[in-house]
Amino acid sequence: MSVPTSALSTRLSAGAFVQRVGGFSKVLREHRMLLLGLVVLLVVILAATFGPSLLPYGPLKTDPESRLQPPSLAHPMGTDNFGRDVLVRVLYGARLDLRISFLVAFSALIAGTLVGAFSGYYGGIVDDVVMRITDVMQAFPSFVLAMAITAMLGNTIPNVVLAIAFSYSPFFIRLTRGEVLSARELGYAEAARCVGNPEWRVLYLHVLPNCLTPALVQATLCLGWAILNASGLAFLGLGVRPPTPEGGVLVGEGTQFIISGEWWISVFPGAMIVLMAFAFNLIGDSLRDITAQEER
Amino acid sequence: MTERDELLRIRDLTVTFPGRDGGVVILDKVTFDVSGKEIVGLVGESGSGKTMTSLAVMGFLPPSGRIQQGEIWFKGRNLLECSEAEMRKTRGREIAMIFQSTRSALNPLMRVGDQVARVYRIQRGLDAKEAQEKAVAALNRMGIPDAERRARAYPHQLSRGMCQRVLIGMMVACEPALLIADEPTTGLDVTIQAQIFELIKAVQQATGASILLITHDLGVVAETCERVVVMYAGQVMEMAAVEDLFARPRHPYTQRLLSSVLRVDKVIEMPAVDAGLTEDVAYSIAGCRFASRCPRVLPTCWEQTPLGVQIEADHWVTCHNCG
Repeated sequence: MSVPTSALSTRLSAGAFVQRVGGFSKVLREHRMLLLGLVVLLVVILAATFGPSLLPYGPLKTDPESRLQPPSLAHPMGTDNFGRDVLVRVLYGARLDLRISFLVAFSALIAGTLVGAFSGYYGGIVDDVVMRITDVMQAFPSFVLAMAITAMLGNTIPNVVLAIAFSYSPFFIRLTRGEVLSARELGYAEAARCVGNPEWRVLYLHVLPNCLTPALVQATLCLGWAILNASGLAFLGLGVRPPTPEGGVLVGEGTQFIISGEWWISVFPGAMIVLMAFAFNLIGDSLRDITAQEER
Repeated sequence: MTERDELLRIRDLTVTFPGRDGGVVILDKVTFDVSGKEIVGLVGESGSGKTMTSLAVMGFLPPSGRIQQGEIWFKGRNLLECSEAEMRKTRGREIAMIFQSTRSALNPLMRVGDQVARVYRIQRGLDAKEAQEKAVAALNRMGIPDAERRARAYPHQLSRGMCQRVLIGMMVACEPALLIADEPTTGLDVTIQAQIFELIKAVQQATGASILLITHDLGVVAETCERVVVMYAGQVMEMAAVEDLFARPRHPYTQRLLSSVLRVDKVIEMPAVDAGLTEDVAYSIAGCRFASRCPRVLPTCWEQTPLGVQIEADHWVTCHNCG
C-alpha cells in the first residue's frame, strides 16, 4: 500500500514520517471510507494474487462439455461459451487491470511531476510551450486521446499503458507546476540557493519533494480511472485483445449472451471493475480530504 | 570613504523595476562599505530598499529588476560581473544570508542535521559521515542542547528559536567572511530575539566575520552594531559610527527616525505620523526623496538630488541642509 501511505506523509507537516505512521491507525479510525477502500482493495489484490492457484481451471482452458453453465458450486461464476471458468478469468482480469492501473498512475506521476516541476521552476518560454502543449492535450477528453493513441500505435498492453498515462500526464504537469511556482520562492529554496546549491539541485532536492502531495493524491484517483479507461478501451476492441482475460474484454465477450439470459458472463467481470474503481476512488477521495484538512 | 580593509564596497548601486513612467527606481546610487570584522546596521522603514540591497549583493535580485549602474566590490571582485558559477562558489562559502522568514527557511522534509551537513558537502566536498559530524558540531556551537539528537529532528519538531539557530548554523557553517542578516528575529519573542542577537555577536567574534544587520529595531542597532547606514526610499541618507549617529544625527530623516523610538525612561511627545508612502517617492527622481516629509525643506531640495557629503571622519550625510 505504498502509494496511499506516502501520500499521507508528504506536505509541510509531513516531515514527521514516523509520527504519521504512528498516527495512521488514528487516521483510519476517523476516515472510515479510507479504511473501507483499503480493505476492499486488499481483498481484491489477495484474491487476484492467490485465487487462481486455488482453482482447478486455467484462464484459457476451454471445456466444450460445460458451455454456458450458470453459477454453481463447481463454477461459482458460471462458464462462458467456450466452457472457460468465469471466476478464474475475472481474477486474472483483475490482476492485469491492477497492474495496468499501477503502471499508468506511476508513469503519469513520474513524467508529469518532472515536466511540471521543470516548467514551473524555470518559467519563461519553456513554461509557455509546456503549458500550451498541455492545453492541446486537455482539449481532448482523455479517453478519446487514449483511443487515438492505441489506434495509432497498435493495441498491445504496453501501448495501452502508454496511451492512458500520456492522456493523464497534463493533470500532473499542471498540479506540480502550480505548487513549484509558489514553493520556489519560499525560504528554504532561497536558503538552499544561498549556501551555494545549483538551481537543479534546489529544484529536485528541496522544492519538488515539498510539492508532491497533490500529485500523489491525484495518482490514487488516477488508479481508479485507469481501470475504467483500460477496460473501456478493451471493451471497444481498442485495448487489450481477447482472449487475454481483462475486465473490459470479459464484459465485451459476454454482451451477446445477456439477451439470451446468460447474464453471468458479463455481470461478474463488470462488478469486479466497479469494485476496484470504487476502492481506488474511496482511497483517493479520503486522501484528498485528509490533505485538504492539513493545509487548513 | 575612509581607508580601511574594506570587505564589501557598494558604489552607486542603482536598481530599477519596470513600471509606469519608465519604471520604479528601487535603489538610487546606494553607496556604503562594510569593513572586515565589523557589524554594520542597515536601517530604514519598510520599502526603503534594505532587503533589495542585500539581494543585489547575493545576486538574487528578482528577474525583472535591472541594475542600471553601480559596482559591488567584494574582496577585490566586482560581484555584478561574476558569472553564476562564481557566485555559487561565493554564496555560502564567502557571503551568507539569513532570511526574514524563519520558519520556512528550513526544508520541512529534511532532517535539520542533514541540511547543515549538505553545506559542508557542497562547499567543502566532505563525505557524508564527516559532514554529519561537522554538522552536529556546528549545531552544538549554535547553543543547541543535545545537538546529536536534535540533528535528527525535522524543522517542525523544533521551536522557532531553535530553527533560527539551525539556520544560522547552516549559514556560518563554512565561516563566510560576510554574513547578511535580514531581520533575523522577525516573529520571535523578545527573549529569544535577545538570545539570537547574542548568538550572532558570538559568531562574529568566533569567526571574525563581518555582519550586515538589516533591521528596523534601533535599540538592537545601538546595542549590536558599530556603524549604521540609514536608508530612505532607496537612498542612503546618513552613515556614521553608532555613537555618533545616536548622539548627533544630522539628517532630518534620521532625527525623526530616532525621535520615533519609544523609551521607558522619558516621556516624549508622540511624533507626528508622516503622510504618504515611500513607494510613491520612488517615482520622483529629481530632488531629494525626503523633501515632501522634511521639516527643514529648502527650495533646492525639490530640484536637485543631494549628494553624499562627508562632514566628519566617519560621518556622511545626503542632504542640502546639513553641510
